[in-house]
Amino acid sequence: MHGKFDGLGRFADPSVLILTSLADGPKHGYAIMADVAAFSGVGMEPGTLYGALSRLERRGWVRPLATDERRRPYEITAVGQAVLAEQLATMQQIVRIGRLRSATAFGA
Amino acid sequence: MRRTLAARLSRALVGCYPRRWRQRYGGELLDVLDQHRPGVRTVLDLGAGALGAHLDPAYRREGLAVIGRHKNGLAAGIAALMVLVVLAGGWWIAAWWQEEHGSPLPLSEGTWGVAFSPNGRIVATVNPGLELWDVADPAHPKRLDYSHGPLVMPGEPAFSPNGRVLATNGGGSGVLWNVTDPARLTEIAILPGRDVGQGAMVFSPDGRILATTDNGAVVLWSIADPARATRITTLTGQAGDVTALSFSPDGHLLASGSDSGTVVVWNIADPVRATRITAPARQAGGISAVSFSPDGHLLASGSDSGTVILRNLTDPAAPVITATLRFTVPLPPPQYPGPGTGPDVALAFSAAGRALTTIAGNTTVTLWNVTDPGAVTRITTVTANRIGTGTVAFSPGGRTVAGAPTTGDTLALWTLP
Repeated sequence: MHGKFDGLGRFADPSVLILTSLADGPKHGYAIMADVAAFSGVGMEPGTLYGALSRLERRGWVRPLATDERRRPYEITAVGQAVLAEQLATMQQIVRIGRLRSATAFGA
Repeated sequence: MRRTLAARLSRALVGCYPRRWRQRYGGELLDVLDQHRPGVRTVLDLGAGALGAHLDPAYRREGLAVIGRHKNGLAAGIAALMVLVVLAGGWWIAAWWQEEHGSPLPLSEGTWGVAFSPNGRIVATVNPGLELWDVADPAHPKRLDYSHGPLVMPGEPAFSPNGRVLATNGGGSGVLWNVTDPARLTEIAILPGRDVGQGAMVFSPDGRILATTDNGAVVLWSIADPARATRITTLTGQAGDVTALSFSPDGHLLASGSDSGTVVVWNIADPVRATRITAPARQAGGISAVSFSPDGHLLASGSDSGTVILRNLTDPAAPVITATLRFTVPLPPPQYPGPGTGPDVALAFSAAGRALTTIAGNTTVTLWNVTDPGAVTRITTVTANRIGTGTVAFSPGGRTVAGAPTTGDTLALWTLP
């Protein structure tokens, strides 16, 4: 994983999923879980979700929106968007190289 | 709603998170658990989450932060790790013990719920532990007792009319406490089932019924004998999640307000056969407070959009809107959101029912003359620096407001104009 994710520990992967989920607009806790399950098939549990959310919030990558509803929506910040873009670029690079190498190994 | 063993364990585990973590995220996490179908994985994941939060320097106590500072140093060998694991385990147990028996959090961290006893001498606060305060001398409130078990979670507490029983939301179950001696909180009973929502709880004027919320429903409990409380009925059909409740002074009517702006009046003269009388027009915003006037003729509902609607309920089947009061709801401070920092509207009638006080966003206090409900006038508006951090409560008669101070660890009391 990339340098910017240092210190997220076992929450690094959930963090990418959460940031991706928030990229198209604010969502509350359960909506994030449902969205992540829908787009990635990853069944994130509430403990993991809130462990990652609390770290993302402390780093200033997501921000809770003021609400007096019980369900508090979170939104991605500008910094969070930059970090996500960087992460996705890294992943894309891994995908590209991985495809290339496996094609070389088995395709020939 | 029946909950499985995994669901019960999950909710219990939320109580094992550090208190500061719980104060910030506990309510939301419980809410997500309500919507989730918990399994073994959920339980294990929450256990790991609670352990992780305890080991997180941000929620760790000062003395142990030193471990965090050196974790990247040379001592990060396997031996040190093993020592850490042992220390962490021991510390976790110690922290858990501390949760149960330790000193309370500073009150300035905000309140999830506040309630005055009927004689106005005791105030109960939830943050997320339960605390009882002696406010007989308003200049010097004294903390009498507190309980920090995982049994106390967000939600407004409520005193019984005789002041001997206190009801709180215990992580999804209603908990009844004996507060006859307010210096010694003792648990009487936990209401069966785990479906008490974070909305309001109210006792009927005769003290025999407790009304609680369960998402979009209202649950009536018979608590004639608090040690053997039983569920009487569940009132369903209201749109939105019920957030506010009020009994009429004669105990025959119950008003419920929801977060989608609906106000429903129920006839509960015979609670077993409670019926919905009327569902007046929807109010903009979410209802934060409903209250009957002392004579029972008026019903006031306050919405976080900045309106109070007064209805004449002399004929409950045909409520007549007599006035719509408008005021600005200040935005919450741009600080880290804590318990109840959202724009909130609180309201109370004066003892004689001639005045109505509204507090918006914990800053704007407005006193209204409602002697003639058809011609309500604004008496005065005071903009305070900040009344309470989180929720606040009016004393009986509405002259005093209790809440958390912005700094320090004592209950704050404001006397209204």
